[in-house]
Amino acid sequence: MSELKENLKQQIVTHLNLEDVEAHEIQDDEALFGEGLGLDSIDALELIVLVEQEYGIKITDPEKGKEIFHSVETLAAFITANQE
Amino acid sequence: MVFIGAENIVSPLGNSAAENYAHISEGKTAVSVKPIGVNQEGFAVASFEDKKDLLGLCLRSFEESLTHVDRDKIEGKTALIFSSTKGEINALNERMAPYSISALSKKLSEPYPFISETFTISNACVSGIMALNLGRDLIQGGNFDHVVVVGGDLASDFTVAGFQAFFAMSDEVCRPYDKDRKGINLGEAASTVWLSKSNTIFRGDAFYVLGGATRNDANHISGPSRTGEGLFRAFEAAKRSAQIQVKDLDYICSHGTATNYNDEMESQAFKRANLLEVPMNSLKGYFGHTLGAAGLVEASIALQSIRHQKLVASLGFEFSGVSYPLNVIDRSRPQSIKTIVKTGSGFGGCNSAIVISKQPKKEIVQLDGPIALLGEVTINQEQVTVNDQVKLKLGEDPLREMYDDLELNYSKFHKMDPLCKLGVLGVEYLLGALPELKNAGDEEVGLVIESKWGSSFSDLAHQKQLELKNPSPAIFVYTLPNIVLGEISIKHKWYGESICLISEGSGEQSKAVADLYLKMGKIKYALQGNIEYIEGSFELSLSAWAKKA
Repeated sequence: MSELKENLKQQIVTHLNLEDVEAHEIQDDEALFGEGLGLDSIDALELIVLVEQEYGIKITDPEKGKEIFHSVETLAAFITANQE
Repeated sequence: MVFIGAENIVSPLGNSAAENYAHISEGKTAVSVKPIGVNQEGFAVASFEDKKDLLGLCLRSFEESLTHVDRDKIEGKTALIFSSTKGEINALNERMAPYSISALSKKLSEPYPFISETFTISNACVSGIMALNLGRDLIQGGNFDHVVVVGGDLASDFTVAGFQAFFAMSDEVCRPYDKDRKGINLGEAASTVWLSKSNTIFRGDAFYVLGGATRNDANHISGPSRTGEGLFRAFEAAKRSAQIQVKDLDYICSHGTATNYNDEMESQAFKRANLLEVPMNSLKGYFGHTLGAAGLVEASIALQSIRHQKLVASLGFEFSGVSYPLNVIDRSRPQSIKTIVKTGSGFGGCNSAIVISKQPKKEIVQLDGPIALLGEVTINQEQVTVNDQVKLKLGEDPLREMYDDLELNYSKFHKMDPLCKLGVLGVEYLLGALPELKNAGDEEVGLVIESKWGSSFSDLAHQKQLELKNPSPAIFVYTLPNIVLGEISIKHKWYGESICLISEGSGEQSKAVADLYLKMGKIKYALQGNIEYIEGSFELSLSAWAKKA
C-alpha cells in the first residue's frame, strides 16, 4: 500500500505537470482539490485517464471521482479494492 | 444602423432557415443515437446521413442565402467572415501536419468576386455570435458596406474524442435546463447570415443589430464560472450598447448545452441580469451543439421567430434542474416579438451576446482617433525584444528560459500548451514595460490575437491519441486557439473584449480590429498581434495601443 501511494504521488506530479510540487511533499491524507493541492476540474478528469492508463481501472462516472480522488489515501484504497 | 437578414441554415433537418424553422416548430429533431467517433460508441448526435465535406456544406448555405439577397444592389466593399471551431480537421487523418482553417475561408470566398476580404474567427462556441458582432463593427466603423457571415462545423472523430474525454456527451436527445440532463449532443450544420449598412440588398424583411459584446470569465479555461460572471457581463455590455432595458426584451435565444455546469452557470447569470421572466429557449435539442455554427444557426432561428411572431419550445425541458427558475418556453406559441438577445458561452471562458430588433435605435456613431502605440514585444527563436531593446537571448529551452527570466512563479503555466505559454509570456514582457496597464479597469483591456496555425501543436497531440479509449481532456481543451485569450484573462483578471482571428498571420487584420475597438470606445487599451507555435518554430509579435489623449 505504501509503495502504491508513493507511486501514485509521482504519477500525479508527472501526469498533471505539477512542476512546483515534489512528490514526497504530498501527504497521504492531504486534500488533492480545493485548499490542499489545489487541483481543478480538468485535473479530476486527467486522474481518470491516469487510473485507467496505469492501473487498468475504468471510472465511468466522473461524479464518483470526487470521493475516489479526495486524497492519495482514498485513491490508493480505491485502486487496491478494484485491482484484479 | 446595421441591418441583418437573408439567413440560411443547412442542417440534417433542411436546407433553408424557413424549412428548419418549420420542422422544429413541429417538434422535429435532427438528433438520434448513432455509433460515432473512432470507437463507434453510441451517442446522440445531429449528423448528416452521409459524410459531408465542410466546404461543400458552407457553399450550399452561402448559395441559398444569396436567393434572399439582391446581388445587383451589393455595391461598395463586402467582407466574408467565416466562423468555425475546427474547420476540416479530418484532414489530420490523412496528413499529420499543421492545418489552418483560413484555407477554408479563402476557398469559400473564391466563387464570389464581390468579396474583397475574408476574416476567420475560431473562438470556441461563441465564434458565430462573435462573427456577427465583428461584422456589425466592421460596417459601423466604415471598413465595409456589407458583411456575409458563414459558419460551419462537423461532428468529427477529433471533436467526438474530445467531448468524450470531458464525459460531456449524452446518449439521448439533450435536455437543456432539465433536472435529468445528461450532457450535450454534437451537431453538424452550416449557416449564413448577411449584414449590411442598407436594407436595399435584402429581398425580404431585414432587422436591426442594436448591439453586442464579448466578455471573459477570467476564471477557468474549461469550467464555466460558478457565478456566471462573463455571461452576466457580456449581457450587461450588450444591453448598454443596444440602449435597451430588460423590459424591452421579448425573447432570449440562449446557449443551453445541457451540461450540468453550463446550464447552471446560465441560470446564475440570468438571475443576476434580471432575466428570469423573459421567455427563453435552447435549440440544442433540435440541432445538437453545432459549435462554430451554433451562434449563427440559433440566431437564424431567432430571426425566423421574429418573422413568424412565434416562439419555439425548448425541446427536452420538463422539470427545472438549475438554481433559479428560468422562463423556459414549454410549447411553441404565437407571441409578439420585437427585440431578442442571442447569448453563448464557450471553452476559454468566453461569453457573447447580440441584440437584434425589428425597431431601430437612435444611433450616434462616434469614432474617435487617432491611436497611439504604447509599446511592443517580439519573441522569436533567438531573442525577446521589448521596444526595440533585446531583453533576453534564447537558448535550448526558450519557454522555460523566459519563465525564469520573468520570475513568474505561476503554477498554472506548467499545465499550458506551448501556444498559451508563449502568449502569456509575451503579455508579461509587454506589461513589464507598461506599468500604466496594471491600473486599467477590469474591462478596459481588449485582446485581439491573430494566428495562422492557431492550435495546430495541440491539434496534432490530440489527434495522436484518438485511437486511445481514454483521450486526455487537458490536451483537447488546448485544441481551441482562443484558449490563450482565456489564459491571459485568468492571469490578469481581465474580463474585456477578446477575439481570436485565424489569418495569414501578417498582423494586419488584428490591427484593423483593435483600431476599431479603440475608436468605438469598446476598450481603452488593446493588446494586439500575431502568435504562432508549431513544432520546431515559434514567433510572437504583440503591441499595446490606446487612444491618443
